[in-house]
Amino acid sequence: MKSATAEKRFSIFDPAIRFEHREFYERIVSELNGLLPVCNQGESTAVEISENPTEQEQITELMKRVESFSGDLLDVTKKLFDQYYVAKEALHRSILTTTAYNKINTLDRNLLERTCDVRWWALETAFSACLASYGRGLEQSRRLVALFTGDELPSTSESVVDSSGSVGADHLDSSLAGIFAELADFPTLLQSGALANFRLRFEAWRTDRGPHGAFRKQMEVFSRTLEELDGSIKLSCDRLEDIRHSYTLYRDIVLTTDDGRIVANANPDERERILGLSISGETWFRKALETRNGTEYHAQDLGPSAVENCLSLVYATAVRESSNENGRGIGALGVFFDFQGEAALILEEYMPRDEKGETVEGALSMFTDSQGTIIASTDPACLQPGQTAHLPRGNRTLESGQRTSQYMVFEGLESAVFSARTDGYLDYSGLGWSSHVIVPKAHLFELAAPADEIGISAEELMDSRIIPDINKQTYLRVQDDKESIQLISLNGIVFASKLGKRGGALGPIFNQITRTGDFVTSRMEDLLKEMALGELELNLKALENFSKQAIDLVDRNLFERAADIRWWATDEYFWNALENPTADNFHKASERLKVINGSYTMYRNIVLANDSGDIVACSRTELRNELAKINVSDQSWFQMGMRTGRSQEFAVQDVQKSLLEKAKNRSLVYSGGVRKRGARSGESVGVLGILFDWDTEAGKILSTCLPCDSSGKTIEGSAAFYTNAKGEVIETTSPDTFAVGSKLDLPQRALRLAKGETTSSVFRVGDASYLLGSSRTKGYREYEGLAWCAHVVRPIGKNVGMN
Amino acid sequence: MEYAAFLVGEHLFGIPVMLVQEIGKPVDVFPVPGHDPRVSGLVNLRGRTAVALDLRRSLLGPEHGYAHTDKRKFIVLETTDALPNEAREMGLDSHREPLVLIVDEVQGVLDGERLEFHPPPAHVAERHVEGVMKVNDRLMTLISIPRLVEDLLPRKEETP
Repeated sequence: MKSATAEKRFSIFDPAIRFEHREFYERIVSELNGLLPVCNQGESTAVEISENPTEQEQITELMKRVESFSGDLLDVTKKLFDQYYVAKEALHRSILTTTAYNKINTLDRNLLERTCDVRWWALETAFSACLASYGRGLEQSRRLVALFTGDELPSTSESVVDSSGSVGADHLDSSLAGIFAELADFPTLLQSGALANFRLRFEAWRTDRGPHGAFRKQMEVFSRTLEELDGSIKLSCDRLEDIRHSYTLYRDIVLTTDDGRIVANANPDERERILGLSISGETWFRKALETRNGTEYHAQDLGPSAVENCLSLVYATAVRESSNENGRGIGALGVFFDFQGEAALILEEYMPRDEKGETVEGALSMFTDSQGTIIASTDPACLQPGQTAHLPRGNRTLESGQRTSQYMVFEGLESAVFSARTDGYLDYSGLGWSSHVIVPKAHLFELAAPADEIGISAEELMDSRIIPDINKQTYLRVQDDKESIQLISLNGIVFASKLGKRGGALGPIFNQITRTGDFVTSRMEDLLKEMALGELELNLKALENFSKQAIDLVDRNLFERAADIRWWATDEYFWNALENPTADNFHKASERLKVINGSYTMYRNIVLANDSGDIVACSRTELRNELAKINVSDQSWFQMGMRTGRSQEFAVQDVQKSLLEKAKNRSLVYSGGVRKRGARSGESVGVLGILFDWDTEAGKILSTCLPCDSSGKTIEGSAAFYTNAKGEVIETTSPDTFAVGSKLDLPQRALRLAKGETTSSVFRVGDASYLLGSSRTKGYREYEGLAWCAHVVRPIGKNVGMN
Repeated sequence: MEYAAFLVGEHLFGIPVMLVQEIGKPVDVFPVPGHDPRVSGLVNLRGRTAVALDLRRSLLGPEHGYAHTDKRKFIVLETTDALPNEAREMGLDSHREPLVLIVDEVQGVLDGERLEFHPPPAHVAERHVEGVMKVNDRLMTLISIPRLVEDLLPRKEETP
């Protein structure tokens, strides 16, 4: 802001000035100008009614003061409009550039999880086993082809001749030639159904008329390799499907060989088309093979891929030998994120809406890539993905993390465009994308809606810390001027009274001055109050946005937890340990949990319980003995987890005290049923439970959702907290004021929120008053949420030092 | 006769408008040690020094000290010498030295001829109450400035 507010930037002739305000201004000008002849009349009346020079002087002085005040009032009025518009502009800029930033930040937070996913999944043993099996098949097929074509063995015809000698040479040749022709192009067997088909013919030929001796032995080995490959491809496809069922934000996940053939994929609808497809020319594949170890990945910006028929955003890394993090790359795993779907979800959020809840006409939102090309937008008809976005230069060439705003004409509407470029999130540096929100200028300067139902008077507001000092000074100034004019009139009336009958002629003049003064100053007070309400409205909007962000981020985070639990519950180590309950298997399960927990640090512990509720393994292996004594059969996370009938289901026990964590008052446990052989449906043989590090993670989110002043400093006394379905605080940034476990007497409108709704209100507790923004969980994708709310407050606070 | 009406606390009081020189915004008051607490101190009125009377304490009682109101006004009285002839003809008097009344709010100028006048009620002992006027559904207590001043300010010439 700096000196910006001190400078006059909105002249009354600025097109942004609303019609109502210009009319108002003109009314004031004409009223005040009307005082001049009244004053002149007053001065001449003075001469008429009194010959006493002192009396005349007194009247003249009063009239001069009226003239000077009317000039001052005109000045104040002009400044008032300037302040009004500057303040609105500044608040909108702050809110909407934050919105633009939050959109890209939300996306990058999501994508960070994707980079973790791909690296973790690439270590799945099913995938490395499948690729190893493919490698063996390929090698054996080459050797067999070489044998058949006589490159290695001198007596090919002898070895392959059927022992009975009864088969005609031409028949033998044609069937063999077919088989070996297919074998010569072994990778084509990866095509959907091709391997099964080939195996049928190969087995038929082998049992009917297979060769003898060493060659026969090789054929048997090869047959087993093919069987194993077939099985491992099916398993890989199954595991990929399991992943996709658990993490629903992927359109597909593909496993490729090191020469770029697709071996397995997650989306059964696309399987027939893409299995066996070569994507060796695609960058994501090459970059994936170039990764040096399991910690590296490649993020491939949106582009075409043979895997999908729309633009793909791919995260990829190498699948390594024996699933060893530092092993040799033997293939690649590419995850195809549902960018378009996710972008549409994010872009629709936080858009200015009219009373009917529709996005305001002319309000648009989009993402552009590092080249300024549109990659997603709320209105593809005018912001077409693939096209360069026509934006002011300042909005196109942003630095990492920079936010800016600019006016421009967009689609024929005077608009403001608010932009922010990503600065990545934690370890994920992002792809240099930017987010833009376009809002018509007319919307920015709309008149504030009356805030009666909010429960705060304009007077209280003017006296609060919500309203910037400069507006308050103007308010005081107007009140002062109002008082001065009233006093002038009062003294005029006193004066006229003292003149007795002679003074009668002055009466109407002072009455006129009183009327004009009252009219002008009360209208200015109205304007100031409207201004204050405008500020209030935008402050409430900002708090609403923060609360929405707080609940959205927690929903998105918990969606990931719900995905994690569903996927891990299918892990072989766990069902194996529960089906074969030996100390060794439990130990292995614990070790596996420890590895998982090592990568997923947002969990305090992960536990495996058998069907009678005994904890048999846990990731915090140092707690094993202690937890082994615990039976969790009466815990709701366990009971609900046992009742899940399909791997797509999960259960969650709302934040509460848990047996598993004696030292913690609040635990949040997600659980999923473990099924025999990791089946997708059926009875549970035990439950996997994950203890989310609720206070740390929720606290981190809340601390980023606090309102800031124009210099970026958190506003003193502001706080953010979550409440559960019962209205109890479950996490807070302010343990002293809004303690965890307490039940707050929140305003009705905050308590009555429907799913996904946001509101704002005035929250009074004891002597303190706050502005409150609240949002109820909307859930994210198939994660429904737990009916929690997020609340963000800032103190209304009496202004100190102005009284 | 017309009256300048003002509030002290919640009570409505009036003095003849002829005695009023000017109504102004509050200015700084300099307390003088040794004064009666009903006298606030001295104020500077465009170069002239005036004595400011705390009407809350004077009219409501010693326990009614300063109360915050943003409508507080100073009523500057004419000195006896500057009184208009009409005032003298009506038998009004003020004080020889400049005086300021500190009031909580000025209500305006009321025409006494349209109001009902009552002499001071029997139970009111204060000498400075001249009578009571009915203003709509309220009562306005009329104050005699000379008697109020007599009570508050000792006459200088009487002190040796």
